[in-house]
Amino acid sequence: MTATTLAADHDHEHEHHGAPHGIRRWLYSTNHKDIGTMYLVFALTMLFMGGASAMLIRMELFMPGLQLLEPDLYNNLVTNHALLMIFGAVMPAAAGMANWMIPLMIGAPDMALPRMNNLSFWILPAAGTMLILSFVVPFFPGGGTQINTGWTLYPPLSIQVGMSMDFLIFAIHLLGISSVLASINIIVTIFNMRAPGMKLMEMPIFVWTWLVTAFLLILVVPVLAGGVTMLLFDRHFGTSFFNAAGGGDPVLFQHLFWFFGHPEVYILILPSFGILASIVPTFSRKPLFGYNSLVGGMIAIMVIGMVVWAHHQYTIGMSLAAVSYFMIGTIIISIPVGLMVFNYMATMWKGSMTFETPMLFAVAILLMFSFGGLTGIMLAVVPADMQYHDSMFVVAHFHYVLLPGAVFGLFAGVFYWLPKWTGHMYNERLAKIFFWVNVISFNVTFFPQHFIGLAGMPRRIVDYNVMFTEFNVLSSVAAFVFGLSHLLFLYIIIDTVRRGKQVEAKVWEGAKGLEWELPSPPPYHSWTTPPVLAR
Amino acid sequence: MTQTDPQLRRRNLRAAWLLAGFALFMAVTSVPFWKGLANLIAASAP
Repeated sequence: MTATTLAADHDHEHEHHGAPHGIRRWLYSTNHKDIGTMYLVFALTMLFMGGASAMLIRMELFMPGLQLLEPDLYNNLVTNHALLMIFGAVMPAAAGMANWMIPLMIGAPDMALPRMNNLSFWILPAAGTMLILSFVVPFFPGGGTQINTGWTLYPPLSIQVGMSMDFLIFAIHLLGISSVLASINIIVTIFNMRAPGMKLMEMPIFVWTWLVTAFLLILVVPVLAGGVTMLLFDRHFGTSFFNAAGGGDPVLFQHLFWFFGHPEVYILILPSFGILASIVPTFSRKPLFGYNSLVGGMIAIMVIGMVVWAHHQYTIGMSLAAVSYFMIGTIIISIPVGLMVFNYMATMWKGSMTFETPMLFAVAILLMFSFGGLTGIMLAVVPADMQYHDSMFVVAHFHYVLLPGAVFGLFAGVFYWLPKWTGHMYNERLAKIFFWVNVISFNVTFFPQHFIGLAGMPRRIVDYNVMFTEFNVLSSVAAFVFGLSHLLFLYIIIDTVRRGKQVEAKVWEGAKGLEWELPSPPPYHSWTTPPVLAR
Repeated sequence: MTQTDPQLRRRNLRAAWLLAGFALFMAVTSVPFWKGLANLIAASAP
């Protein structure tokens, strides 16, 4: 019953008090919409910071030789780019969408634990500050060496780095606490706060994706927290968890990290796939194809995704049985992922499709994410991976997975729900310009990296052989266009809030679900009386 | 903040504590479990 409609009235009149004013509204907020907005603003800020570090990386790689950056600073930027984008931009943006949309979609008045919701968000700016400090501390006298480990933080290098690593470990702890608290809140909200009569198998797929994502987070984030805590102990308290000289094993950290790191990919992707499950039926004007198989597929992704982590570590020297298991498991996971892609394609099949910006993003995601998935199968094959490992091919692969799979999905969600959130329509012409510039420049940036990777250019290296110059120049020029195109995205959002045309409750003609029964923007307190679902 | 029925509030808190306990369990057991597994994989290497 994803196409739920209302039989009875909902009570916007019931809104007995509106939003508080001033800074208190945001600082003490327990309102899911305000907290969702704060998550989204925070994520956008981090997106620009992470993007700036990416542009510095591409400036350095514009030509061979050392142009602008010292090698240590380059590695510091690589580390920070990944951490800012993953923990600062994508995860908070997805959490912002969850905060905004889950209560509206399931007919709940708010999240189940509103005060904890406030805490989950306000830990984030503190964590973000620690993260940025880990980047800048080495530039101060006595600040120690820069973080040159990449986001994987492998020992022994991470044990040798200066105090900036301690800032980073603390930042990861804070980010982890924020994620786990938010996940607990989302699970409890979904289990306990659904409108009367709404069964689990009747929830919108977006809500399902977040239920699976939240469980994944609770399962894997504590393991990362355990890993970095052991790292902290090795650094300061004389333990030897990862120190071979003391009887420890540096490879242990790799297992701990990737047990978190691989499911993290699905944590980033699944919410965006949930957004597609709302967008594709709306603009195809057809019900979603294969609801049950989508739910089954994402549960399979969760289960299999947790037991294939060591495909990131083929080169460490595992037994044949172990690498064979991880290879087969990794290839098997392409089945439920492919199932989700094919379900969306089947939803489009023979539909009355129109191509507003969210739908353009949806189609582009299916094409480009599938391409990233294909190179993923190449990397899953052990003998092939031995050749591709730590090359620019891997960089191209995961950017094809994560940009379309996670970031473009979030862009699609912003364009789809922005009119609902603000009550104003965005400028469709500008949004389409943003889409085309963004998607084309993304492809020109990352597609050539497959070739230079296959030809032997290593990743995470500040300098490269002159034979890779042409493709790197192309990649860098396109990266600047790609980076700058996000200023247009920011302008579109500001323009929508300030000058956008007023919209009705049901913004999109083909949209279905409880959220579209509320006015745009929804009242400050929505669903104070639970909706009655039509059967 | 919207008022929540006291019974629902208790249910919410109970579920939250249960999940928090589970997260703590994952954190605490991760150290010995992964240490053992890593040793096992290392021992099986050629």
